[in-house]
Amino acid sequence: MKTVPDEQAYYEELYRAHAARVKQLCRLLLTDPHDAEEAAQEVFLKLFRQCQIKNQPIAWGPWLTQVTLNTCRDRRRSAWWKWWRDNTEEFQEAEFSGNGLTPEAEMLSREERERIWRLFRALSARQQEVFVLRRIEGWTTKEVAQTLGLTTGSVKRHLFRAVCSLRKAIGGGL
Amino acid sequence: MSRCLADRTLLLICDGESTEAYQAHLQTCTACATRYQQLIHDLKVIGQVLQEAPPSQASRSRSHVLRLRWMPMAAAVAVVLALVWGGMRVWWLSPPPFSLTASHEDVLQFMEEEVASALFSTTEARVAAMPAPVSDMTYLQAALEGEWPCERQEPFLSSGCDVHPFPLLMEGQ
Repeated sequence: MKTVPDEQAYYEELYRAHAARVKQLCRLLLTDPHDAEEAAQEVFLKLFRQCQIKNQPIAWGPWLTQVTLNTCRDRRRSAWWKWWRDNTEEFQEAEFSGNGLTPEAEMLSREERERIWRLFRALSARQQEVFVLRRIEGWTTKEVAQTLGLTTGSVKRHLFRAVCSLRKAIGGGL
Repeated sequence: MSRCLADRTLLLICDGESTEAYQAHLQTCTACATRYQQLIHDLKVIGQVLQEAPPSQASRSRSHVLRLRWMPMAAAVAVVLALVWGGMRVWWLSPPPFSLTASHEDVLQFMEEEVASALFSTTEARVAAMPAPVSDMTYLQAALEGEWPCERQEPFLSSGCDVHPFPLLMEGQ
């Protein structure tokens, strides 16, 4: 019986554990769904290569998050000329939206959901990253600051501004 | 703590950076407690929505199709205006095109109309009788005899001239 190499099996295990989260991060940080999908593939390619070498990171979660952030940043920088792209393309529902809607989310109208997404897209790249890492990924302020190369004060400021902007979508406000 | 908590403080409390004083205030101040609960609810909803798939973009109105960012557009307009202005400035400052080879008739006409009246005013200068033209044969004879009539001498020229032109000029009269 042919056995799967250890590195490949290790990679597949890591892929199953982190694929949904990485794809969600890419989808949040990149506007275009095609770019998000390609960025996620790029991250997993780097993960595969990293699994081949001996010096592997101790914690794959933060490593994958950092690689995803850097990949999305590179995508945003190289896509500045795409600002005239038509955004009316239909894109398919994400395969990884495994979380069911909470009663609160279900009560939201479609317009409110669209407003939240629109306001999220209107945030600066830095604010998006801070909000996603802090509120979606659940990282601490210190961890976010270390990953993004910011001070804790800057992280709090970016998070506060992001929250203020996003709360306007549902009629709230700080 | 009598003053209500600031919005930023409520967010810090929500992120787990609360203090005993903040907690005590939330227990005593109804307004702050209400605002705090509302913040928790909003953050939960926002997080949940963002973890879903983005809404379909086909339902967007046409006004959102082309989301033109104003910076590149403003830069492009500024470049176009600068090019147009520069081109117009160059066109204004450039001399009008004219023919370098003016016709002979144009030159004579110009000399007759413009130059003659400016240089030869007939109101002041004494009109002297012009000597009659000398025949060419006279000059030819003088040249053959080696006595080429002098041109009019300038004051600063030192060379002398033995032959006076006046006799030659008056000979024909």
